[in-house]
Amino acid sequence: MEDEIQPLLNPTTASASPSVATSGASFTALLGLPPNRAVELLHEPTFPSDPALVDRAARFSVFAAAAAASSAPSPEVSPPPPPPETAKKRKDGASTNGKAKVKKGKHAEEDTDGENKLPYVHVRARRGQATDSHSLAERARREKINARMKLLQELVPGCSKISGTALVLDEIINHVQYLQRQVEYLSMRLAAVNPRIDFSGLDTFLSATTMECGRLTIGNAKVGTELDQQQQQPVWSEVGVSDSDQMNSTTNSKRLQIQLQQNQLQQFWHVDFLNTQNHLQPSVWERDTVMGSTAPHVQREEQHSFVGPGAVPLLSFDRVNPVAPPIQSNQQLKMEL
Amino acid sequence: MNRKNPLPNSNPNSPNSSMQALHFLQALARIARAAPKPAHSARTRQIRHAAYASMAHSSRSSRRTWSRALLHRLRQWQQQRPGRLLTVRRRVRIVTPITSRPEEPARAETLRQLVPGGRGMEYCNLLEETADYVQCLRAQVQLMQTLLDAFSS
Repeated sequence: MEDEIQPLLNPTTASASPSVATSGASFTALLGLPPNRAVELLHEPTFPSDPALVDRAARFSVFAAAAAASSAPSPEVSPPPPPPETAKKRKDGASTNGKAKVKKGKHAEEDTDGENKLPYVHVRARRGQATDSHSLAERARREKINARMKLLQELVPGCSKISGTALVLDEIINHVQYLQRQVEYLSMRLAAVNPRIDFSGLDTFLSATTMECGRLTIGNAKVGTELDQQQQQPVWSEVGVSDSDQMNSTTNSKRLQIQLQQNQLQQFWHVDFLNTQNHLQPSVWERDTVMGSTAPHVQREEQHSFVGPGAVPLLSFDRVNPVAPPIQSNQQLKMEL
Repeated sequence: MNRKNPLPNSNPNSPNSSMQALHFLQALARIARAAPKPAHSARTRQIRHAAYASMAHSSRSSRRTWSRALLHRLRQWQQQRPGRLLTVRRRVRIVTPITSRPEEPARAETLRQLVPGGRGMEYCNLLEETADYVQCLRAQVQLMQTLLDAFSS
C-alpha cells in the first residue's frame, strides 16, 4: 500500500504550501485513491477519530460528488476553489497541520442551485471548533435561523437598530399584530365608504385592463399550484368578460373611460387604454408561451419598452417604487396611486 | 420609503401585487353588488374576508404554507358564521410539544399563533413564512389605504 501511496504523496508534498488553493490540490490527489485508503491516509498523522463516521462522511461528501460527476475528480472539484474546499466535511481544522485556516463558508443555497450535484449543506469548520457532524449540522441550522432573522429585521421597520433576538422577535410580533389591526380598521372604513361607489364599471374596467396582466401572472404561476389557476378561471368568468372577446372589451373600456371620468376616481384611473390593448396583446401571448415563470418583473419592464408612450404599469400599487419605465405619460396618467 | 425586498421572489412591480389588487377589487365589487346589507359589521367582516382571501391568492404566496392555512381558516370562518351562537368552540387541537423546542425563544409561540399555519412548522420555517406573511400583509394594507384615499377624495 505504501508504494502506491508514495507517488501520490510526492506531488502533494511538493505542492504543499500554506495557501488554501493548493491545499485543495493535495486533497484532490487523495481522491484518486479508493475511499478507505484515503481516509486512512488522511488520518494517519493523528487521530483516533471515529473511523466509521469519518468514512461515511468522506464517502458521502466527497466521493458522492466524484461519483455523480463521473469524471476525473480533480477538474470537477477544482473549478471554484472555495466550494470544493467545503466539500470536505471532515476534520479539516485539526488535520490540516500547517495549512492556512479555512474560511467559514456556508453554501447551502448555492449547492442546491448552483452545482446541482451536492445535496449536502456544506459548512466549513472554523479553526479550533468542534467538527463532528452533529455540531456542524447545528451550526448550519443556527446560521439558517440567523439569516432568516436578519431578513425579518430588514422587513420590519425600525428593527435593525435593535440588538438581541428576543427584542427583535418582540418587535416582529408587534408589527404583525399592528398590520392585522390595520387590516381590520381599513376594512371597517372601506365598509363605510363602499355603498357610494359604483363598482360595476370598475369591475369590468379592471378585469379588462388587467387581463393581460393576469395572463402574465397565469403564465408565471404555471409552476405554482393548479389550484391557483382553477380559482382564477371562475373569477374571470364571473366578471363576464370573455377571453377571446377583445373587441368587446375595448368598446367596454371606452365606455368605462367615459363613465369613470364622471366618477370621483378620475384623477387616478386614467389609462391610455386603447394603446395598451392593441400593443400588449401580441407581446403578452408570445411572452406567455416563451417564458414560463422566469422573471415576471423583467417581462413587465420589457412590455413597457415595447409599447412606448402611454405604457401602463398596470395597477402598480406599490407606491414605494415609482416605476422607472416610461412615466412619460402626463397626458393620460396611469395609476397615480 | 425605502423598502428593501431581500427575498428573491418578491418584486415591487411584479404582477403579484396587481393580482392581489385585482382579486381584492373584484371581491369588493362582488360585495357591493350583493344586496347591500345595512349592517355595518357584516360588511366589515366581508371586506376583511376578501382582504385575506386576496392575500392568499396572490401568485407569490400560492406556494406558501401560510396561504393554505389562511384559506382553510377563511373557510372555517365562513362555515361558522351562520350558526355561530350554537357551535361551541372546542379546542380540539392540543398544542403538542412538537411545536415548542428548547432552543426556541419564548416568543415563538406567540408568533405561531399570529401567523396562519404556524403551529406545525419548525422555527426556521416559521421565520421564513413570517417574512412572506409580513410582506403580503403590508401590500394589502397599502392597497386598502390607497383605495380609501381614492374613494374619499
